[in-house]
Amino acid sequence: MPSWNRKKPILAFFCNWAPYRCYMDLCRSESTFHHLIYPVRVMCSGRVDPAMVLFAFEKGAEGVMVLGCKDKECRYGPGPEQSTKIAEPIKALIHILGLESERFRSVKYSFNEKNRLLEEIDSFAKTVYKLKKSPFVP
Amino acid sequence: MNQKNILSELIEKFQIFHCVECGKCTGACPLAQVDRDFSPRLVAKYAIEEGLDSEYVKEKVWTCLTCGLCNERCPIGISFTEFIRAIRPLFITEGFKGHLSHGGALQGLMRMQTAPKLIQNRLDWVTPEIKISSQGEILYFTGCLTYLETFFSEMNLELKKIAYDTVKLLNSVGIEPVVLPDERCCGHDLIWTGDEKSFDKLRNLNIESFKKAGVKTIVTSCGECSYTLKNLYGQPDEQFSFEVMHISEYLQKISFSAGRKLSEIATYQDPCRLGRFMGVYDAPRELIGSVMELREMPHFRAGAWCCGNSAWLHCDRYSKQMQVERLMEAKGTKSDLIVTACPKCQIHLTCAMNDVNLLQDLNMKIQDISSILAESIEGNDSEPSP
Repeated sequence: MPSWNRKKPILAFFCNWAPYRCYMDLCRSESTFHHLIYPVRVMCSGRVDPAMVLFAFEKGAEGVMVLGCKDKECRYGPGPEQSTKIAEPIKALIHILGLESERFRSVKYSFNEKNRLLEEIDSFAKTVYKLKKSPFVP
Repeated sequence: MNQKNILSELIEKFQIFHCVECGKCTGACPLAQVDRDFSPRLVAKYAIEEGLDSEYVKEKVWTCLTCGLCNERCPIGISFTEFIRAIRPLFITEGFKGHLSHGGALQGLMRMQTAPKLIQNRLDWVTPEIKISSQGEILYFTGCLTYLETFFSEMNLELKKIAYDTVKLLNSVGIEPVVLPDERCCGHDLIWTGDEKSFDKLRNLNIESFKKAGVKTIVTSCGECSYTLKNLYGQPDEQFSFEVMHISEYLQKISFSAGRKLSEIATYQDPCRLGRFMGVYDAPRELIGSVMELREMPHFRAGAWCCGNSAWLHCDRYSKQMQVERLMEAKGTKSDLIVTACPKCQIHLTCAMNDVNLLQDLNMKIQDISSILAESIEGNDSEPSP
């Protein structure tokens, strides 16, 4: 298993329900993470506001993922829609700051999609590691 | 020197001891009208009596709007807002009890601009129709317009158009202003939220790029940028000094003559930094008066009410109430649009207009002074925005 990439950290906000369960399933199973991420568990992906994502970038994160439940599968109601809403402004803001908009990704999962989660994390990490180092130093 | 000594020195420096406790500051304060707990006089009193331990000061130092109306009313001439600005850093280390609006995202964006290696894409509003240069004596300081328009994209404000229109106005008088691609935020909101360290970084980076471009005059389209660049940047060294002007001051100085008259009736919202802090009242009024009829609200010039917020601190029901009252004043003048000279006034007032809970219809057109002047010289209303 590869070690944490401390020089190029990737942060992922996991919704406590579907995505975090997929993540826990992955951790318990035999599957291998090719790239590791820093998980942050939140109760709902709708709680993640632009300030939190920007703060992660300010503190030197190379990429930020927001992983939420699928629309209509949210336990609280409009959570996933809310997290979709913030995606475009965040991408535009980090573009103005000179960061590539691929550094932010918002993805939706169901309970049984642990393999898709693994693929998604790996593909995101691959994309981010190809980019230049972020100019923000903590 | 410990924190307590710094506070007593600041009390001495700003002559808070001279307070005669007349309470005129509290009587005039737009926040005290709606929030009965807040009183500038009590903040001064408890700062002297209890200093850093005072729970009242700890809380209220952050709710102050810093609009400067109390300074106007004070018979002794105490600069209360400057005092608030100076003591805020002390109350960060004592435990921050304020509330940053939008989760502190806007302060975060400003702090991110302190990174020296940053390469920003902030000039997407520059089109081939307007001419800018990279070296020259006159610089147009865009400020946070690009960031704010993106951040508040839900509100559909055309903030980048302010920058476009300002450059167009300068082009129309034969000036091709320098617009820097690596310009940083002026740092106004950081220093007013007590973050002096980040402010100094931004200041040094900005002054460095001003020097490189050979700038002598800086024109801004934002009251806060003008105030910060003029009063808080200081003159860096003897070889390099620059003059700062708001676009309205600059246009008045070069005796700009507007084009055709517009048929609308306007009322002018004085931005606190441009009006009370810098004393620029007449220039915007003359310019607006030259293109359209101007009607004053009941509170105007030095007595103008605040737009409800400053430095992205404490946007609460009191702010909303102040904004609603201000909008009702504007409605009462029976004018068609509100003209401001600060993009933040525009954001705050538009936010109050969009509030679904308001039963009264307070919708009004709101525009920046640069936009109406640019419209008058264009002679074509249906001009596409950038």
